[in-house]
Amino acid sequence: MELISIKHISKSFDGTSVLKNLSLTIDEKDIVLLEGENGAGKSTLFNMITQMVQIDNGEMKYKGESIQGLSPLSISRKGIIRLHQDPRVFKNLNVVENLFCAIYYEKDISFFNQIFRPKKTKQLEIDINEKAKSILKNFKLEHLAEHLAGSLSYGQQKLIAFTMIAMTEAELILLDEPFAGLNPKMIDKLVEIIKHLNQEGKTFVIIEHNIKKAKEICSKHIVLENGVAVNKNMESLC
Amino acid sequence: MNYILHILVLLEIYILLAISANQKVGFSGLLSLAQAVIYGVGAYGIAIFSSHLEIGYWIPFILAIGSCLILGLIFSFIAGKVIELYFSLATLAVQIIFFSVIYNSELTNGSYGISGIASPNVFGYEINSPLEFSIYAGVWIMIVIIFLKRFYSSPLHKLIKATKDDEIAVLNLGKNPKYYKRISILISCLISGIAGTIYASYASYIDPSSFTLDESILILSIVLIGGSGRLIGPIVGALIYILLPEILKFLNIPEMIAANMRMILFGLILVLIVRFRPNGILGKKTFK
Repeated sequence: MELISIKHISKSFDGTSVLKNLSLTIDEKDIVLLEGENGAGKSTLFNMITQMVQIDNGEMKYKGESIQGLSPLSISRKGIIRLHQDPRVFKNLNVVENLFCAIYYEKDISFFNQIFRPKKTKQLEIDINEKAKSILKNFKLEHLAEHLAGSLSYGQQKLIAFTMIAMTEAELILLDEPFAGLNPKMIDKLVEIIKHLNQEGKTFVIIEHNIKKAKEICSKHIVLENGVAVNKNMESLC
Repeated sequence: MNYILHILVLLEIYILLAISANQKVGFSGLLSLAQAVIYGVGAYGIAIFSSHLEIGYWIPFILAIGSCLILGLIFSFIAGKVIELYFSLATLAVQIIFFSVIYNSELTNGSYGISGIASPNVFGYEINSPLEFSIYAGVWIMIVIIFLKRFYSSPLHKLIKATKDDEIAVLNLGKNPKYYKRISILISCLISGIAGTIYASYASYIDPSSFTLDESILILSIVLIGGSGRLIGPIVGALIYILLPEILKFLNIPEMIAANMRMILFGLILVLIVRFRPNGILGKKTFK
C-alpha cells in the first residue's frame, strides 16, 4: 500500500532551486535509501514531509490524504517522525524517563488525572515504565537504564534517541544520517533494530552516506541530484 | 517577638515567590522578568475585589487567583510564540506596562496605593496578628510543597523538564511542547498569586513600589542563588535573602549604611555564585 506520494514538488530558497519537479512514492514496509551529494535536497525533502518547510508547488499525500499545510505537530501525530542527525534526547532525564516520555501520551489521560494521579493512572505509569525497561532489554541497552541521557556517549545517545522513536506509534520514520558518528559495532546494532522494526511494520526513509551499510537493509534506492530524482525503485541496487 | 514573626511572614512570602519562579525558570527554562506582575495581580486582585464586592474574603481570593491564571494564559501564549531571550524581553515589556498601569490607574489608586485590605477569614476566625499570618502562610507553603512533591514525580513534570531540554524532540514525539509550558506557567502563576494575596492582606496596604522590575529581578536572583530546578533551592535562596540583613544587625552598622549594605552583599553573593556555583548553592549540574 502506498504510504507517501509526492507529485511534482518544487522548492527554492531565495531564487535557488533546491527541489525541481520531484515525484516519488514510498510504500508500506519499505526501507528507502535516499542518496545524494550535499545540497542535493535530501534534508529539504525531510523538512517538507514533516512540514517544517512548505512546498512551493506540487502535492504531497500521506495514506491518500493531503498533508500540505498541516503543523509539524499534526504530522508527528499522524505517525511521521524524524530522527535528526544529532541525537535529540532529554539530557537531564535518565534513559528510562526518556523512553517513558516517548510512550506516555497525555491525550489518553484527563488533566485532573494527570495532576492528581489516581490508582489507575499510577498503574498506567508503572506499565509504561515496565515497557520501557523491557524494550531496553530487547535492544540490549538495559545497563544504561538509570544513566542521565546527557552523560552518555554520542553513539549511545543516538541509540537511545532511535529507541525512543521506535517506541512511538510512528509508521513512517525518517532517519537523517543514522550511522554518522557511530562505531561499526553500534552501526550493526542500529541495523539490527531497523530490521526488527521493519518486520513489525514500520517504514523507513534513510539519508545516509555510508551507502554500503545502508544497502544491506534498503528495499528501494533513490538518488537525488540537484533536486531531481535520477533513479527510482532500482531494487537491484539494494 | 512580633518582629521575628514579621520576618517569618516575609520569609514565607518570598519562599512562595521563589518556588513559583523556580517552576518557570528552573523546570521550564522560561526566564521571566515579570515575576512581580503576577505577585502584584494577586495582591491588587484581593485588594480591589474585596473592597469593591464586599462579599467576604474567599470569593475575592478566588477571583484574584483567577486573574493570575488568566495572566498566566497570556504568558503561555507569549511562550508559545517566542523563545529564550525574546521571551524574557516580552515579559520585561509586560512588567513595564503593568507598573505603568498600576501607577496611573484610578482603580489601583495610583501611587497612593490601596489600604484597608481584607484579612483572610478561616472558619469564622479572622487572621490579623503576625503570629496568625505566619501560621496562615506556613499552611499555604505546606499545601504548595505537598502538591509540588506529588507533581514532581508525575509524568507531566517529566515532560515539562523534557520540553526544557529539547522542544523539537518533544514535538517529534507527537507531543505539544506549548501544552507543557502552559502547565508550568499556570502552576507558577497560581503560587505567585497566593503569595500576592498573603502579602496584601498581611501588609493591609499596597502600592506600586512593591511590584517593580527590581522586585522581579530580586525574585529571580533568589532562585539563582539557592539553586534552580530543585524544590529546596529557592527555599534556601529566600532564607539567605531575608536573613542576611538580620545578620548585619549584629555588626552595629548604622541604619542608613546597613540598608545599602544589604543589596551590596546580596549582589556580591550573586557574583560569587555565578562564578563558583553557576547552578546555585543547591542546584544540580545540568547537561546542555
